[in-house]
Amino acid sequence: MPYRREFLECLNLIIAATEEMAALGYARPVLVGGAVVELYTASRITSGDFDFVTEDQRVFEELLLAKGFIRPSGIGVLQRGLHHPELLMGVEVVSGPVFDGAVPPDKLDVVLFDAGRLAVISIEDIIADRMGQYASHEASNAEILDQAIQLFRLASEIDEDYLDQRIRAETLNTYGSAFLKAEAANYESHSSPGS
Amino acid sequence: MRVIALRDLEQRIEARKAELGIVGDDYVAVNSGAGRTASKKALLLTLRRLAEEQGRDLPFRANI
Repeated sequence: MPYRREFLECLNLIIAATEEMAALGYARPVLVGGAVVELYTASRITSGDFDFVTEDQRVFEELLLAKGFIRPSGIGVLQRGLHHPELLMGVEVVSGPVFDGAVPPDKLDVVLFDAGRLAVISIEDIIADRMGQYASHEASNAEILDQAIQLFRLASEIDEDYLDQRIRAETLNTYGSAFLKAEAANYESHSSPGS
Repeated sequence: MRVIALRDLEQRIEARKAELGIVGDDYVAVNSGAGRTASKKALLLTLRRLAEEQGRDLPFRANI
């Protein structure tokens, strides 16, 4: 199994909490951010924490605390997220809709884990998210563009119209999917044998 | 909405890697950390301090 142990153990704990939320009638929190890159690259890039979006932050965090996560306390503590002291992984929970409402519920995906169902943004949306970060400051975010390219290359199924729409939205129309395809093709030509 | 089992997702990724001729684990760049929020930096620093206290390595690669 190429997924690293800590990623799976921590995510299964979190998913158990999301299952409890669903059983209580709340919507499942949605995984966004760097851990989604880890999920869609099978842990080839690793993340130190899991970012979740939910309309019910307080309920979710209470359930996570019951699963062994800790919230740091004290004056001047900047850390907003929780962490697991044995797995050495964190969770940050943000209140509100996914991408400020730009992603309709039917565009969210579900991955089935041992502990239950993980609601997660699609491969198209994490690529668009990376492109948005890249567009915001290209000089310091070259590695973020590389992540978008590798995610695109590794994807076995892509909705190209949706990908283009979402990249344009996240980059304020600076880029579209054609740019990403060209970068990926450029990558292939430079990494092919004999080049 | 796509629904997929983790093991199937993993198999699809491994199949794509094989098609592309990708070998090894270092083909995806690690974040520079330049865009992290103060809260995120604090969280990662907490994890690094805990790892040091426990005499362990962090279970992830990151520029902290």
